[in-house]
Amino acid sequence: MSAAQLADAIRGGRQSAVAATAQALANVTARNPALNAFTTVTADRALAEAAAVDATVAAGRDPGTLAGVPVAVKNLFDLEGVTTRAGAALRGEAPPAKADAFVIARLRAAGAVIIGATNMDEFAFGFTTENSHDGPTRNPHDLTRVAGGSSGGSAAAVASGMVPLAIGTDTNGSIRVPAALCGVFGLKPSFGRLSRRGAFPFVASLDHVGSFARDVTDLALIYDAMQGFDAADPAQARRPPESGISALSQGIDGLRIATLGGHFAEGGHAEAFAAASLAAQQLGATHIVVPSLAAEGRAAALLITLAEGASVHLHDLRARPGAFDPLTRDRLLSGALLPAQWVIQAQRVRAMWRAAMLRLFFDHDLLIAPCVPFVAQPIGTAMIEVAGRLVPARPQLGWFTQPISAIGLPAMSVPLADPTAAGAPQGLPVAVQLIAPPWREDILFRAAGTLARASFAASPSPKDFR
Amino acid sequence: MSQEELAIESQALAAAALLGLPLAPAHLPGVVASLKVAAGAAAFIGRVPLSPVDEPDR
Repeated sequence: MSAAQLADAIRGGRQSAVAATAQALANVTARNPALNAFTTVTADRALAEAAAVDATVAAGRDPGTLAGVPVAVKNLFDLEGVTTRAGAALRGEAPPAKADAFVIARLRAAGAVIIGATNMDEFAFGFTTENSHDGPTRNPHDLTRVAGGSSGGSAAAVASGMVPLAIGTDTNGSIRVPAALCGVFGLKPSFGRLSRRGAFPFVASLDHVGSFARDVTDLALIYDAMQGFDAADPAQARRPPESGISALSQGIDGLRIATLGGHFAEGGHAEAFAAASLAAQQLGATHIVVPSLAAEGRAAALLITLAEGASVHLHDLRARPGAFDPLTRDRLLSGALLPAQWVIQAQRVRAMWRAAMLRLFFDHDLLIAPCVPFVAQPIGTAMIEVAGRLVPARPQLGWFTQPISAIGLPAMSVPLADPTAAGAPQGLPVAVQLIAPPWREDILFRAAGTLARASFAASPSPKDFR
Repeated sequence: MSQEELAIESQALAAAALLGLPLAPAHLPGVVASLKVAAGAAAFIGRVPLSPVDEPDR
């Protein structure tokens, strides 16, 4: 049952929120040991929230658009009474959060039920959720493979059917990458769209809050619920809520759509480009545009990530570097040592890259690109062959996503219903990335809704978690 | 270790000392490897021609 169907049944009194929550908790108990998607299960809280939803319905009031819908939360979001781990052992002794993160409060106001917190790369610095403290999250489509990251636990929780919805963050691709590898929809809204208050920071100038769903309608539902102005987030723009749900059925008539070439036509395996090509055919996009400075934009994102990330953690890097995950520590240490000129140059190039992409949007409303360069690889894969060259596998996962988040454009990972159509090895999930101008998430939903209605886009069911 | 890596290690140790950031010997190879990647990225974007009015992003 989708989130929309479940919420409708609960609001109509045909289904109890407590019963739905109990079922979700039972699913977590049964499935999580194999997947390691959840690091904390908030059963008492969830059942209390569900009981409140049922009481609201019984009183004849509307509990909200997400009434009784179980939601999983990346473990960098504050949950009142729970220590915000951010995937890090060194935060294990941090005091419990005093309040929910802003978007959690928004979800609760819409009637959602928070089931628990999910696994991630330490401090969100990774693309695979191979967390050395909590263990790797496993891909529901093949338990020997990574789920992607850094919001891998959230993606796996949704893909495996433990919950219909989850939230995460995306700094360089941390929603879009795991969504693609796990075969679910993932939305990274415009930079500044959703409040980040109560989300443990990674890179302040690149961090975005977003969400996962198996159904594009559900993705719109949770996106709409999370919107709202929060003066406490200095990066959030003061914009009115702009509905994803109302855009879903609008179709793509009048949209000028193209496929990105250049950087976006290299750096991956055949299935990545086939997925983009098939989506372009479905959406009637017949020409390719080549933006300048995309690779430079990605390089700039790396330098900014290293420098800003290191700044957040400088105290702990000095005091207890051994407490960090080795995959994180050395990169953060290096980030603290970058010459200032490298970082300033990166910010100047980033501005030029932004200008180049905004110029493309004079003539286009939607751009199509691959989302990840290859399907999920076995856990522990360090190197991979791309175009005849061995490259580090983990950073390569951000090849197509980093340039886009570097300039804050809204983007969506849209899974192919039939990955074999793109030649995906072993039929593993593959996705396409839809990219829109700033603040035009509605265009993403129009296109994704069109792809879903054509049965081109859907979340493929993992054979072991149906 | 290559000449480039030796130079990076030397720079890393000097910058870390300036910053008051202890670098454990066991962490140094990973730090050097990461800085080598960063240096490559910096060299790459360093080739982008910028005019005096090309301001940093904010």
